[in-house]
Amino acid sequence: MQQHDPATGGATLYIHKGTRLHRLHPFTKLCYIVATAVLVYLGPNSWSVEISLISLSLIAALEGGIIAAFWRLAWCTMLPLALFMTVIHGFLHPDNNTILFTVIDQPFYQEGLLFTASILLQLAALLSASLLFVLSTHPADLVTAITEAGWPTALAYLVGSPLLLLPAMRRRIRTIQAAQRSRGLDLEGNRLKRFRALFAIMAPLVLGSLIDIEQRAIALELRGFNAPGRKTNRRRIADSSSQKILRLSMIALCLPVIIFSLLSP
Amino acid sequence: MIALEISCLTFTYATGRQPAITNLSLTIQSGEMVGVIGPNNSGKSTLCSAMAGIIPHFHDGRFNGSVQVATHETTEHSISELTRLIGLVMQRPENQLSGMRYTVFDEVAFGLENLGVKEKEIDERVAEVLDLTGLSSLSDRSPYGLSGGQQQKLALASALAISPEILVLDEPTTFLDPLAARQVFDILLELRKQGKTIVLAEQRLEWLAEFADRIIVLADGKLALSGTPAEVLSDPIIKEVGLDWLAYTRVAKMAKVKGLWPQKRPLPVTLAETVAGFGGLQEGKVCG
Repeated sequence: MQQHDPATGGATLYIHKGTRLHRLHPFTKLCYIVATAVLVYLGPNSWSVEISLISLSLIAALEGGIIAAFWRLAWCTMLPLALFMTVIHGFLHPDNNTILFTVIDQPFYQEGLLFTASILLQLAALLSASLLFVLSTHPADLVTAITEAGWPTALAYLVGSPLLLLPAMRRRIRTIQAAQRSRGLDLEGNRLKRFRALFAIMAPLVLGSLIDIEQRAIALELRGFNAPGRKTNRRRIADSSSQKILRLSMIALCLPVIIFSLLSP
Repeated sequence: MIALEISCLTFTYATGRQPAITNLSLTIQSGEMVGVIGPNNSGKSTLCSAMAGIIPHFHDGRFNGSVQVATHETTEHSISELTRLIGLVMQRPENQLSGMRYTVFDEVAFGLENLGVKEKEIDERVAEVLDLTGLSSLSDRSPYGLSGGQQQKLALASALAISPEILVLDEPTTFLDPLAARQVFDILLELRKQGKTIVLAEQRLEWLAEFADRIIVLADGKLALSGTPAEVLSDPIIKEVGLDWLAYTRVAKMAKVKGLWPQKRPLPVTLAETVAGFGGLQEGKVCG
């Protein structure tokens, strides 16, 4: 069974486990995301790169004990996208030439399908790296790592807070949906009906979220978040020479790829 | 000793046309427990925010008058400076969590870390307030894994860890069930015993009647009434501003009309006063 924050917290996507993946410094995992993005989008245009990176992320997720959530979230994100893109590009991509099959007299093309597969693999590689980070890094660790590196705490919170606020917003949506349903709002049915229902959900969601953010900002102020002077850091994020070398290696790997990409026509 | 002094405070939010607080003056003595009551939009939250310096530092608007916390003018000190003098606990428990700490213990320590308190002292102070708020057994839990009542106690503990002289609570039990609300009240009573100055905006009048030293009534941003719970809660002004008398007071009032309540005895605001009032009657005797 998944264990979110200690004792079923679940406010973030983070899953609490004490594995090597979890113990990695947040910057190491961030470097992996950056390296993945660079290799996938600027590196050699080869599926083998993407497949290798996805495999690496899968192995890391397995080792980190987060494979179930990793798998579920990856599919939840990729499947609708895959269905949508396959249909659009399979039928309508401008380079379409080789017919694979026809559906109600409409030809479905190989070029569109290959293009979709290529885009989806790139996205899947990047999503896998991001999921590794989100599922195995507590926002608190990220914030602490940023402040330990000497960056302003406000910036650290700006980076860390979306990880916290998104799941909270998801919970709020569910509450609003339930409340609106209980008042007779029809959230099922055709697209027009659902589109109309969207307004009834979005208005309280946006207003409620704005109030939440304001209150959270006040709460932080009241607890000296912007107090001048040196802060005490009780929690320290473990780092090691090997991780520093790993991060430098990833950056070193990215640089020639970026330079080559900029210089190539 | 004066803990908090407000003089001729008028505040209008930048987005508002009418002042949320108008010409309000108030003095609170050290160790006092003051209840703030009033209907919706009467200015309770604005008053609490002004006491803690959230107004005018956080909310824009026209601010006239003065708010002094232990002789410190709130306009001349930042919120983080004032936070050592005055703590504020708000309504929604979840919104008061920093979201930046793993455990209940770390969450309470967060404010002290920001203020640069030494690690050893942080550990001692956090352990102390967790003990006071009954959260010691939950210190390793995630703040998000707690119930609403426990989260509100955590918010209270987080404010208390900084050791402010004054504690302001803006309807802290609104989102809590009666049991959790009662537990929060029990902590406040313990704090009062320790001599902490407490300002509590609260809808549960029966509890204020029992525990507050003084109650102030706000209506349309103005101070409508101030006095002991017995004086304030049985005053007709309570009904005029849109609140209602407590059931004890209403029953005694009806009884008084029928001669079943001693004419010279003040109307009760607590169960004990009600029992004493009716208990003083001999069976079957109608008071003249």
